[in-house]
Amino acid sequence: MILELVKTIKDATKLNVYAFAAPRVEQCVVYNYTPLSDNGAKATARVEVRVIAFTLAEALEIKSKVLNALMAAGDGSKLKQVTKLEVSGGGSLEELTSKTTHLFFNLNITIKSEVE
Amino acid sequence: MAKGNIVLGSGDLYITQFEGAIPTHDTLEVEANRIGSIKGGASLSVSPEVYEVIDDKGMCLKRFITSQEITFKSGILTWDLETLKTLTLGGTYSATADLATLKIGASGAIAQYLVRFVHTLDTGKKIRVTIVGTASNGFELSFNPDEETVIDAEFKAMAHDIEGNQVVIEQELA
Repeated sequence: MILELVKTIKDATKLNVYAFAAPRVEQCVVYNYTPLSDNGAKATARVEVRVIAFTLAEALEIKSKVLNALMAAGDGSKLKQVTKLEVSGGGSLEELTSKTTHLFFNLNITIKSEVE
Repeated sequence: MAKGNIVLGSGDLYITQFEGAIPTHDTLEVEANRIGSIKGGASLSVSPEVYEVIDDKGMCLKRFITSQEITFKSGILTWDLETLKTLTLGGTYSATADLATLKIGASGAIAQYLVRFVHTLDTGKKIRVTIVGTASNGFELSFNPDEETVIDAEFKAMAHDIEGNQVVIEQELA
C-alpha cells in the first residue's frame, strides 16, 4: 500500500519522494511510515509527510497536489486499498541553512489488514 | 483459510426512479444514477417479525414470519435538489437553465426508487444490495459552520416482485 501511495504522490507532484530524509537540497516530498494498529481485519497507519520547497507558497501548492491525488470527499480515498484517509496535525518551518521551507502534515489511513 | 471475505470500506450508491423492473447492472450503475459521495458508509437492516405457536407446556411448535421490515441507510455528502427529491414524500422538482426548485409539503403520490449500494471487495468482485422503496424518514438539512452537511437518507423497502422479495443481495463469485 505504501508503495502505491508513494507512486501516487510522485505522479501528482512530479517530484522525488524519499523515505526518512532528503539526500540533497531540492524541492521534494519526504515521508515516515508509522503502523499504528492491526487486528487482523483492519490496519491503521500514520504517514508523516514533509514537503520541502523554496517558498511556503510552493510548499502549499505541492501539499494541495498531494491531497488532491489521495483524498476523496466522503468515504474512501482515491487509493483503491485505502478505505479511509484523513489529514491531521502539521506545521511549517524555515530551514535557514538550506534556505528551504518545510511543510508537515500527517495522513491517517485505514486499510484492510494484510493478515490472511 | 476462513470461508468468505472480510469486508471493510464503503461503496457507491445509485438511486433512480423504479420503473417496474430492476434493470441490468450496466444500465443502473451509471454516473447519472450515482449519488456523488456518501459519508459514514451504508447499512442494511432486516427486521423480521415472527409469530410463534406455543402450546400450553410452553413449547414452541412452529414459527411464522408475519412481516419483514427492511431499511437501508446512508449519509449523503454531495447532493443537489434532485438528490433531495428522492428523500421527500411527494415533493416536486423542477429546473430551468438558471434555477432548480424543490417544493415539499403538498400531498401527492409517493415515488418508488430503486436503491443500489455497490461495495467492491479488494479482489475486485462486487457485492450489490438492491431495494425498491420509498424514503421513510424524511431528512434534515443543516447548514453548520463546524461540520459539512451530511444528509441521512433512509429508505424502507417494499416488495418488488410477485414473491414479495424486498431486497436482493448479490455477490460476484467469478
